[in-house]
Amino acid sequence: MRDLVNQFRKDWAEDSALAEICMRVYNHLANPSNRLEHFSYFQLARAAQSDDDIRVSKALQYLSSPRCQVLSQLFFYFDVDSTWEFEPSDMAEFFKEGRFAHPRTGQVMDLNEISVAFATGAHFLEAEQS
Amino acid sequence: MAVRLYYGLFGKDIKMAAPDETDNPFYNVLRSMAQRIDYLPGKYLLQRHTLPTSVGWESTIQRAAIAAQSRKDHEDLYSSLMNAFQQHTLVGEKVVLYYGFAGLPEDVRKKHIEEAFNKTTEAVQPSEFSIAYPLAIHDQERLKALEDAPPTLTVCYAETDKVIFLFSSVRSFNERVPLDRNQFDDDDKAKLADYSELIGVRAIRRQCFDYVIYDVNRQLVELRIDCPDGMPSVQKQTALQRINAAFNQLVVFADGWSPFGTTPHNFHALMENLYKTPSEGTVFQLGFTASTDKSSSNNGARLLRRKNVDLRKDEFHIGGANNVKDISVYTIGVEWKSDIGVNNPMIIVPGSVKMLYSPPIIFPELYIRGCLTTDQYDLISKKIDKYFQ
Repeated sequence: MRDLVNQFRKDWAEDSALAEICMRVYNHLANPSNRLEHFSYFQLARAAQSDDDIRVSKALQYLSSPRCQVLSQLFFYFDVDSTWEFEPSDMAEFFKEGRFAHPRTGQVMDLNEISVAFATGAHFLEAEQS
Repeated sequence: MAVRLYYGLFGKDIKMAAPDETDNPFYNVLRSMAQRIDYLPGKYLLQRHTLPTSVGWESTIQRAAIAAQSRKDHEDLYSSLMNAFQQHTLVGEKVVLYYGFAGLPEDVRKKHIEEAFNKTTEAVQPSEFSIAYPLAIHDQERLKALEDAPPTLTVCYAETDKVIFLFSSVRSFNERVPLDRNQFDDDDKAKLADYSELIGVRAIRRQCFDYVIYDVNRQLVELRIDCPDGMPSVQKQTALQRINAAFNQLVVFADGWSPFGTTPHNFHALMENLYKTPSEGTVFQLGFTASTDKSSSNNGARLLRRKNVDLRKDEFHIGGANNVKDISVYTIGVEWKSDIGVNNPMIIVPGSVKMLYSPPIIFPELYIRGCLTTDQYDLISKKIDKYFQ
């Protein structure tokens, strides 16, 4: 398994606080007993021990990128009492359209209504399988 | 088949004042009480004053008003009922937001409080609300005429550690009324023959008492808005924005600072801390996610029968919670036992699972319900302060 800690330091040389958040999330996931089926933003912000939402959001985006694959992104839509999950291919289409349709009512919805969640990424899973 | 046309229950049998009520001032205070206090706690308050009650608000008002006027101690009784009503306007069924004087040095803070008081004192104009104050307008026709008016600054006053500003507004709620099919003509009756029950929705208006409170000791500005259970959330948001704007317009300071220009306090930590402190109150409502490495679930739990059971001790909850790695709470309702009234004072931090997935994680408001007295409300405020961070 590649050690990404040096990569975080280099990539975020100008923002050590952000590098620190990446490391905390990385270390949290490196311990299999901390892993959940998926993580909400809140759970990862807690693992990062940070309430700096701008940095945490940026760090989670970065950790989900093909360069890191520490996390993978999941896309949820929460209605009043139902939850839907969208595939990355659905999301690609939604982004192209700039909007999406409510899965039940068909009503046109703003993309901001979709929430992003996270799963443990290929970086850990592939390394552990091999 | 029942026709469902309603989405809220605000039914109270409040009628317009009959002309002969003007000779008896108790009608006025009792109708003000009936407008905002639920029947059971209202009945309790009247019984505490050894006044007779009856079935429903309307007949209770009639019995209690006549009995009250003939009592020897009617003057003391009147002020005591008035006091109970006034306390309820301050503490009964509120949605609450806190704003900080964050980072303001003490002398600047003092100056702002003084200035806010002076500016608003000058801005108080006589209005229908101020004429009725401290009681409420309860005539439905007058309320209808005032419905679209912006929040009206009605009074401001200082206590030892607080400066209190009252804004009055009229808001309407939907009341569900069963309809008598004999009021329809024969053609319509035939069309409605398939329906076993006919229900209409009627707007009922009431005066709302919304407060802005500078709390000097707690170093915060509290926005306390009337929000009876079931008030549509759109209406709540509109009310919050209107009070916010009305107050800002009055008191934006020379340095551009206004309390509502700051982010409201975040009650997320309060929610988590209350959940993790089993000795504190009784939890009657919880919304949370439960996660293991294999599955995750969204659990909105409400006890089906209250019976003073604490959801944290609910056996399903214990067995389930012990088997998961993470519980993230997104809504909680906690109540504390009280000897006063028929309800216990309670805090509800409202939220949805979505709020845990969308940064920033801010739970900006809470409901304080079940209070009849300022003492009960102060007890709740102390709990908030204790578990806030």
